[in-house]
Amino acid sequence: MTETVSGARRGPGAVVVTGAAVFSGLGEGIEPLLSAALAGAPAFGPVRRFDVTGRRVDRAALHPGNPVLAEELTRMIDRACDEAGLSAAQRADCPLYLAVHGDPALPRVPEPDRPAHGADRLADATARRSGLRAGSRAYTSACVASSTALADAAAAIARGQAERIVVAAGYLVEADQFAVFDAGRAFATDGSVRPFSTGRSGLLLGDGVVAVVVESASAARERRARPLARLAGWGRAGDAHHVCRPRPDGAGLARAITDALHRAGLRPDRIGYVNAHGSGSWISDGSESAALRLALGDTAASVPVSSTKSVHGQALEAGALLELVVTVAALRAGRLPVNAGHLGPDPDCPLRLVLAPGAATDTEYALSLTMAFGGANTALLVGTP
Amino acid sequence: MRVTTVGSTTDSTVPESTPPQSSLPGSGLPDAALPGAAAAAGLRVLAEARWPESDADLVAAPIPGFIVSSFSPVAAEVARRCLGRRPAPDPAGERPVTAVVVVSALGDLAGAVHVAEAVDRGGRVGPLLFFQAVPNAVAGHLAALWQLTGPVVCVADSGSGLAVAALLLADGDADEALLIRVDQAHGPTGRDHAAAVLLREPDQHEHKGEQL
Repeated sequence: MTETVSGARRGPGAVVVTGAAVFSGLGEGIEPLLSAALAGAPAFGPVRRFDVTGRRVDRAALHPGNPVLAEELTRMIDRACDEAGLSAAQRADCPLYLAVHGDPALPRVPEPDRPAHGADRLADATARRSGLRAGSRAYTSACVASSTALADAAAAIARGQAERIVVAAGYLVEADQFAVFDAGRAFATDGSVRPFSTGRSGLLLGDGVVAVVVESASAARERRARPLARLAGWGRAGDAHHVCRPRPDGAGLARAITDALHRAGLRPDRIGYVNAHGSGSWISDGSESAALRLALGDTAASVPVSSTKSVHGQALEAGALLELVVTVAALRAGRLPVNAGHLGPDPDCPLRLVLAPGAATDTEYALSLTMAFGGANTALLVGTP
Repeated sequence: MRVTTVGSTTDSTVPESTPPQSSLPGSGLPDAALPGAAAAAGLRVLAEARWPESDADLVAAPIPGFIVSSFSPVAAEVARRCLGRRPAPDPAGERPVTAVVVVSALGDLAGAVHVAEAVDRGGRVGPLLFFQAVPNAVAGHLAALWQLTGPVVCVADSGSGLAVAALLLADGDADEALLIRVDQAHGPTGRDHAAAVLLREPDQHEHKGEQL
């Protein structure tokens, strides 16, 4: 099926990205991240940041040292705003949408101090430190938190409700989430993330702190800012199926993809690359393949697909934004990220995976997909500037 | 904060010695103000519910697969009450697409504290805690139970939640939005508070010029 009815609406304004900054397990900035993604070189290594004694798995894609979330968020926001060429006055007028699990300190502060350590306070403090407008917004919806924040920013700007919004997200691998994922047997048992491959055994976590400046195209033109990408379309839908497992038929993600295409005014065959969610978990990758077939029809078998989680890991609340930045960088470079960790084809995932480095592309449009607990799905459709 | 185990039906009654947390400074809107705030945001409130609504509301019924914390059971109960109070749907109409918006500044605090304590003493963490660490889990439980197929969004304050809901409705991502706000007690002597509203756009709201 290629034509699915969509009731999605959007405002008339065009939306662009004018600044981006990233901190990941590959290091500082987009260059090491893009290089690794284009080479298919995974960043997974032993966890030294905290004690993993007794855990079944002891690997993740970590930036060296012990970075502090609040500090890295401020640094990335500052860098993204610098790249966008925003003055102090423009930053002061710019709201922050922040995607985080929460304040990392919350579970260990004394009880009377707990109200001061909510995600809302973290967002407000981050905005204040970066000189952004008061009245920020915190998104805590797990892996779709940052894509939801981005879609909301795009939707608001398209409707003229805002001229410019900074969307930021951060997850630094820490002991508590590592422990629950390990206990839930979600981690890959062989040290590699193998999206859509036979023998895939699960996910691995990775650091991600990301910030982007989302702006109306007209405002960017007025101040002669050069966009990095267009946010052409977005979609989000729920599976209504299970607390953490996706619908096997991928219907929720398919609806999100269809809405994104509809908002962009594009047919599936205009998509030249899909940056998949591709967590490397058995069930999830199968559902995603089904979603691509449902939403893209014939294009699903021919469009190049890769999951860069095979290189940088799953950065939870920051993952979607991290992957969007990689996708934008890849489009600008005219090269496709590699789906690393591949052992062999899975008949349930009949996709055209990017398996070798060096694949060139001149495509104008790409999709970036994310699936999360609760059956939450998002699709972001980006275009070259 | 109530620590519940699956199947538990009793709990000690703890007198409320402090003001309701949902009206303390910095905690955002009091529960009673949520419907009013929704209306002020230009949304139609189809149904509403709160926790607690009476002195009988001490322990929310446990839900399968969720352990240790009252966060998800309270969210599920207030959602159940709200959805049960929706006006009877048009029998000839299509089932609406309903978004789920969960609002909580501190999230599942009891669950997070439990995990932190287990990690710090080097003990085992129960596998069920894997998915309930994020509010998406209870949203997914409700979505599956009530066939809510719209977007799932979790934010940290009511104003943001209402703004998110308003834009989802305006842009056709959903026909309705179930907004659930949960403020779990900060400690063993407090009480959980929650509120839920089922929202639609006002009647006769047309979207001229935007239909693609």
